[in-house]
Amino acid sequence: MRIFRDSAILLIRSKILLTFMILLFGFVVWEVGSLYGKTKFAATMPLRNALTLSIYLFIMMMFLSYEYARKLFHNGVSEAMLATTAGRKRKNYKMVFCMMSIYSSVMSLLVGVLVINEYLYYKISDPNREYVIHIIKNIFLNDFLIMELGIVAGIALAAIRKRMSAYAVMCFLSIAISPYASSMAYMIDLSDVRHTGAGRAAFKFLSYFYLMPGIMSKAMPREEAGESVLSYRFFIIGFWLFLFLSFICLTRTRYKKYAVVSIILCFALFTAYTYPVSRMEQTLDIYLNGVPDQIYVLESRDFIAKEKPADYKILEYDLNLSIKANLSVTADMKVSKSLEQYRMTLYRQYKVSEAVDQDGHKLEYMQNQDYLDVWNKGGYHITNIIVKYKGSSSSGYANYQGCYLPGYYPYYPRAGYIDLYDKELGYIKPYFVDKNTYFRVKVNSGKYISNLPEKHGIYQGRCDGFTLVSGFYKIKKFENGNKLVYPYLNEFVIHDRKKSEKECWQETFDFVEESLKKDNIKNSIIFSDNKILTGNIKKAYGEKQIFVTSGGVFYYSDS
Amino acid sequence: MLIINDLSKKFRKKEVLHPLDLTLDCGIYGLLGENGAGKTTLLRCIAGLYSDYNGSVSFADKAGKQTGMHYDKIGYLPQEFGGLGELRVNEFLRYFADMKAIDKKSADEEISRALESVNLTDKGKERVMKLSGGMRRRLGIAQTLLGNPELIMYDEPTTGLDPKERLRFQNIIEENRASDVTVIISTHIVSDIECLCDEIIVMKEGHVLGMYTPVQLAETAAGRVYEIAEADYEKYKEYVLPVKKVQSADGHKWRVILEEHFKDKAFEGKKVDSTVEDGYLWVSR
Repeated sequence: MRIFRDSAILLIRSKILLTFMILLFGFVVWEVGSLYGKTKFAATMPLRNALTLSIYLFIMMMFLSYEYARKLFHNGVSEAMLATTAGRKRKNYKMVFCMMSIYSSVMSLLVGVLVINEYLYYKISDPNREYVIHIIKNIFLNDFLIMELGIVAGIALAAIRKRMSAYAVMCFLSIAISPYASSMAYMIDLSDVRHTGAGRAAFKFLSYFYLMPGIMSKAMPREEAGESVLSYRFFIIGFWLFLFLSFICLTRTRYKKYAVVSIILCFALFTAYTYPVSRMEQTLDIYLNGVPDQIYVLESRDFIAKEKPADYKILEYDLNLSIKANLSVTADMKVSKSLEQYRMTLYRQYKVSEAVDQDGHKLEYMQNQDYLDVWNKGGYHITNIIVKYKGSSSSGYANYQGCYLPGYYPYYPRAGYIDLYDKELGYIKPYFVDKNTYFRVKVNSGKYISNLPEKHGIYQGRCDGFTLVSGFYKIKKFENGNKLVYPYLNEFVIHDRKKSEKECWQETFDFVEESLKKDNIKNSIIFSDNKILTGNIKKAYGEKQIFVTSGGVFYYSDS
Repeated sequence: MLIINDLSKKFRKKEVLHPLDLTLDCGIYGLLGENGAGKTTLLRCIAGLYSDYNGSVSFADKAGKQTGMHYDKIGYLPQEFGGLGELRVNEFLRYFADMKAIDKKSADEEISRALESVNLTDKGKERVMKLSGGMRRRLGIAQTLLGNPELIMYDEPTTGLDPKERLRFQNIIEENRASDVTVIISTHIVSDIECLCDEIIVMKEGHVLGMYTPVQLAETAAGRVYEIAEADYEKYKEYVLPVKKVQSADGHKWRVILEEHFKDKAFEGKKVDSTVEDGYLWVSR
């Protein structure tokens, strides 16, 4: 207890440390206080507020631990203590204990926030265990680890003797990880009328500082998948953690032997972070979030729009989907004719690695942006074309955490060249296949919802597009065999702030049910659309089959 | 007993301590040398603050049991000692007692004894930041006395202190002299240690030039120390090692040590007794 007492004395009596402590707790209390009005508003709010804290936690912990470490390292007392074995051991413990005591206080406050908000969330919303687990994961990653990172960063930077220099580095880090840096990069991008790529370069540079959750950008989150706790988020935080640890090892004689291990881990995590994955978080980085299609269509010199109807049909799709960090697909397509050339459309971020016919003969292929040509130069009689491809899409994501692959989205090849984009908005227009097309889809293990019935892990049946979603979705059953698949964290459903989330959802269900009855729709599965892809769905798919509700845009397809 | 075998230390490519051997029994030792002689580096190696040195440093206790560095029975006052000014004097020492793993029961007793030793008993409740430079230095000495150390090292303990405080420091060390403790005082001020130390280790540019008792060190220059008239100084400048300018009844004079290469027997100067300072200058010339 003496260790805690001494640490506390040092913190409380040092003006600068006390200031940082007050600021830290002030921010936490402020965030907690601001929750009350919002919690009723949407179920996503408790988590969102807890995540918003992460930037304060990081910055305050960094400055606080810097000041504390500086106090211990640069005062001569340190040398006297390190001269004894006990001092050697205890000094480090003391440091850790001190930081842990601050840390535990903040954490207990956070836990308090969570408990209160979980309670409120349970009261106002429909409880769901998977979302509660998701909240815990998020808090661990974005508050716990970020706070640890702040502590390690502060200790590492304490090696810089000049306070002004250390503060300059810490201020740079604070700005670089904040949404303001992304805003600045965005301004650079906007003002880059000559397309020099300065904006892209700025975003690329900042991507190594994406330590904060996407929610910090104040951009629209994808509630149906939740804030990302995918591996790459751990990798970038781990990379910085080991970078600072390496710095500590290199600047402290006693720890130099550990530097190699730390540097190796640092590089490994950096490499892992740069591996492309299907992301789902929203940031101000226009190249990462949901609008790269807009940039591609409106600004890219590579953009090609082609429209050419196919001279063949794809009668059946046998898809083998593997959803991991990215989407890997083996698409076996039964075609109506044996031709010399097959023109297809496949979203440009899925890269084809192989094309063969039903007998395993290799077929030549060329992928140019969204268009794929497969040639039968061997003159084989082709009944099936098997194409393997892998990749990720910013709009229709698919990864460990969730997926949103609507049937109208070109994540599997379509016959012919299709002009995919709405030229005004840059959104992908919904394109469906013939409603008699047969789908047989195998998906790797996971909990998915589809418009086709599933048996033994295989979804099969006839439909105009195979839709697969996973994440924070629920199914609401209506009369006449209709079902609504909806993202239960969709805060847009709350159209009236005076009403609770439960009440708002009920109103939405009533509206959908009424519309279904009015149009005499039976045995249909209706998917609530992802906001990103909603742009022109109404125009493209027809007024009658679209239900515009207060809860968002819905479409249905026959099962 | 402190045993140093073939100890050397490099900073990058620069050798700051050349291989040296020392055996120090109980007593007070002075470590004398100019700035940059390697005194602090040697003390830091002994204190275990540097571990990347060549050779060995070990300590044998009263029973003759030899241990490698680091040991708990050590008190170390570094050259720059300050900070943690937010703590009160009592808390500060308690902090150190805790670091030295002194059990709670004996900590209070040891702290009051240490404070008494350095005449700071009445300052126990004052904040460290409010103490004068001399008092802080005394507080630094007090922390070295905690835990009944068998080896105490002071690195430039009197730097920045006024003459009164320097004398007080000497008195404290003398009063706390114990028969079973090895004390090393590193300094470049001869007067701080000449009356205090049993033996003086002279260092220069990383080398140990020798270990002498104060009398032996003074004797190294015996018969070579002269006082010459100021006017003659220019004349003998290349043959003498100047010690200092002194004032006497018949005007300013130079105290010098005559170099070995002076062959002219007609040296016009008054032979005087050599001191430890003369000896140090002679040895480290």
